[in-house]
Amino acid sequence: MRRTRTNSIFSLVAKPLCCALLLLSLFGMVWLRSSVTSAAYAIRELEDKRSAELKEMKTLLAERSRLMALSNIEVPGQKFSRNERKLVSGAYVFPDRVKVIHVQKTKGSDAYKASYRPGERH
Amino acid sequence: MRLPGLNQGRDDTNRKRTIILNTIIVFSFIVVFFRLADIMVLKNKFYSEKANSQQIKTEDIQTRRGNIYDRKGREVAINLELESLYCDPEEAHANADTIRRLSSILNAEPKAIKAKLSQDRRFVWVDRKLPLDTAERIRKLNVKGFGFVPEAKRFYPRGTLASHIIGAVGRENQPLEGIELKYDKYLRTSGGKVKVARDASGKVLSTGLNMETKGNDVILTIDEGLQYIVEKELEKAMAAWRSVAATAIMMDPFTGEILALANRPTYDLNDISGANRHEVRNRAITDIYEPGSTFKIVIGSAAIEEKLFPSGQTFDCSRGSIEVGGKNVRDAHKHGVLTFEEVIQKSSNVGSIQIGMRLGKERIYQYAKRFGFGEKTDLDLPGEVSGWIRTPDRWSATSLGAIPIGQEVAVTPLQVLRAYAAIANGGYLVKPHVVAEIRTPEGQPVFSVHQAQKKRILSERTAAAMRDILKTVVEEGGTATGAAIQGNKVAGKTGTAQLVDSRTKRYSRDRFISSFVGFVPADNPKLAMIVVIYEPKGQIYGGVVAAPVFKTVANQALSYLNIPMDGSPTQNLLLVAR
Repeated sequence: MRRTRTNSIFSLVAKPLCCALLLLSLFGMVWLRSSVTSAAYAIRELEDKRSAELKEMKTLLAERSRLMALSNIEVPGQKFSRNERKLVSGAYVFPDRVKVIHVQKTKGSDAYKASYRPGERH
Repeated sequence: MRLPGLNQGRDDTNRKRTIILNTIIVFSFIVVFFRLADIMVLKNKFYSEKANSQQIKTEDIQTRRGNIYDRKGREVAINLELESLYCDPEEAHANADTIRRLSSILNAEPKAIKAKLSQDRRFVWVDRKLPLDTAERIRKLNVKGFGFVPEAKRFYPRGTLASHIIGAVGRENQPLEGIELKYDKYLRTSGGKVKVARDASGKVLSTGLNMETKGNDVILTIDEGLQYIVEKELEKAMAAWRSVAATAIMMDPFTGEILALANRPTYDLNDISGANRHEVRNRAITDIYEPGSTFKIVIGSAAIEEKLFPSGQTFDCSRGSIEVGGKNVRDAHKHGVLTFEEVIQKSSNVGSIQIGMRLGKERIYQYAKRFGFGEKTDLDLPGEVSGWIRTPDRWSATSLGAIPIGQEVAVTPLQVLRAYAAIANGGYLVKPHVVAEIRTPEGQPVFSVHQAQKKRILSERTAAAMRDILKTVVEEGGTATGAAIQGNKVAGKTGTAQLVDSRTKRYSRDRFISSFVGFVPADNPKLAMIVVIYEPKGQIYGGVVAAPVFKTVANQALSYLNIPMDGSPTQNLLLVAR
C-alpha cells in the first residue's frame, strides 16, 4: 500500500518536474548558444568599428607626420636682423652658438652666475 | 456480462490495428533513419560543403610592412590604410548615371569603367588604393556587384628627404630600393587566412584573432634635422654651381653611424613612377670617381707611420712640375720649397709625388688598402660598389706620378669619408651603417648595433699628426679657408679631380669633380663629412666649390646638435640661446 502511494507521488510531482527541467535545460542551452552567437556578432561589429577608427587614426598620424617634417615648420611672425638671418635656414631657426650664456654652477644656496663669456667677472 | 465471442473479435481487430500502426511507425522511423543516414553519412561531404559555402567565409589576415623611423623616432616610412574597389561584371548593374558618378569620383573616363564592367571575368579591379573618404562616397552610391578590399599603401611623410636611404616600394608593396629592399625580410610579414562564420545577412562572427599582422620596425642612424640641413645646402650648391649632381655624407667618425646621406638630383618617394635612373642613383655608394687630392692622406699617413722623413724635411716644388714616366705633372700654382706639412696644406702635386716616390708603390698600395680603398665598406644599403686600385705589378710607368695625387684610382664618396674618419677617431677604420636597431611591433629588439665594428689601421700618433696637418688646410695659407667655422677648428682636405672625356679618352679640360672632406671639431670630432659636387660651372676647385658647403652645413649641424665651441668650459652648465 505504502509503495503504491510513493509511486503515485513520484508520478505526480517528480516526473513532470524532471520533464520540465529537461525541457528547460534544453531551451536554456539553445538560448545560451544563441546569446553567445549574438555576442560574437556584436563583438565583431565593435571590432569592425575599432578597425575603421584605427584606419582613420593612422591617416591622421600620417598627416601629422607630414606636417611635422622640418621642411614644413614655419616660424610665424618673426623678424630677424641681418646677422640672425644668416642663421635662419629656410623656415627653421638654428640657435646662434656665438650668443651663448654661460651659467656658472655655485655651491650651496647661492644664485647661479651667468655671463656671455666663460670666466668673465659677474 | 461480456460475451466471450464478441470480446474475442474486438481484441483481434485491436491487435491488427496495433500491428498496422506499429508497422507504420517502425517503417516511418526506418525511412527517417535511412534518410538521416543518407544525409549524415552518404552525402555528408556534399551537405557539409554546401553548409560551409553558406556559413563559412575565408578572410585574409592583412599584412602591413613595418615602419621606418629616424634615430629620434620620427616616422620616415609608414602605412596608409586605403581601400581598393573591385567589381563582379556578372553581378554589377550600373546604369549610365551611376557610371558617370563613379567616373566623377574616381576621376576616370566613363569609357574605362564601362570597359571594366564588360569583361568576361568574375573579379575585376576598378581602382586600387583609394583614400577612405573616396571609398565612402562610392559606398554611398550602393551599386550592386561592387565591393572593397582593404589595402595598405606605403607613405613617406618627408617626401624627398633621405630618399636614397629609405628607398621605395612598388604598387604591390614589393621593395625596390634602399632600406626597403635591404631590410625587406625584417619589414615584411606573412599573413594567412582565417575561416569565420557568418549568418544569412552576411554578418560575421568574431574570431577573437588579430586580423592584421605587422612587420618589424627599423630605426635608422639618420637624424632628420641633419639630413634636412645637408639636403637643403646641397640643393643650394647645385643651383649655385649649376652642377650635374652632388653628394654629401655626414657620419659619426667614432661609430660609423651615418647621420645624413644625400644626393642631388633626387626623387619623391611618394611618386617613384615619376623618377628616372639619374635621380634614383645613390651616388654616395654606387658612383666611382678619381678622388684627386683628398687621396693624399694615404701617402701622408704612410710617410708618418713609416717615419720616412725627419722633422723639418723640405721638398723642392719650385719648378711647379715633375716628370714621371715621361708624363709631366703640374701644380696649380708654383709653391717653392715646402715642408712635409705644407705639401698637404697647399695640396702640392709635385711634393706629393716626391713623397710617393720615396714610399714606393708597394707601400702606397698597402696603405691604400688599409684605408679601405678598393673594397666595399659593407654599408647596409644595396648597390654599393668597391671601386678599384690596381695591384703594384700592374702599375704603369706613370702610375707613381698619378696614384699619390688621387688619379688612376676609383673610389666612392663613402670610402673617402671612412678614410678621413680613421684620422678623426685616432686610427680606426669603422664600419659605416644606416640601421641602428630593428624592433618587433611590440617593441622588443630583434637586432641592434651596440658596439661599433672597427679595426686599427694607423697608430694614434700618426692619426694625431695627420689631424694637425689637416687643420692647417683650413687655416690661412691652406686650400680650404672657405671651410673654417667660427668657434670650432675644422680639419679637412680639398679635392679637384678631372673627369675623363669619353670621346678623346683624355682628362677633360672643363669637366671636374670638386670635393671637400673633413671633420669638426678637429680635436674632438663629432662629425665627419664629405661634399662632392659633380661638374660645377664657373669654378672648379674643391676649396671654392665644396668647402663653403661643408662650412654652412657644419655650422648649422653644430648648432642643431648643441655642440659647444672650442675652449668652452665643460664644467659649466652651458645654455645656447638664439
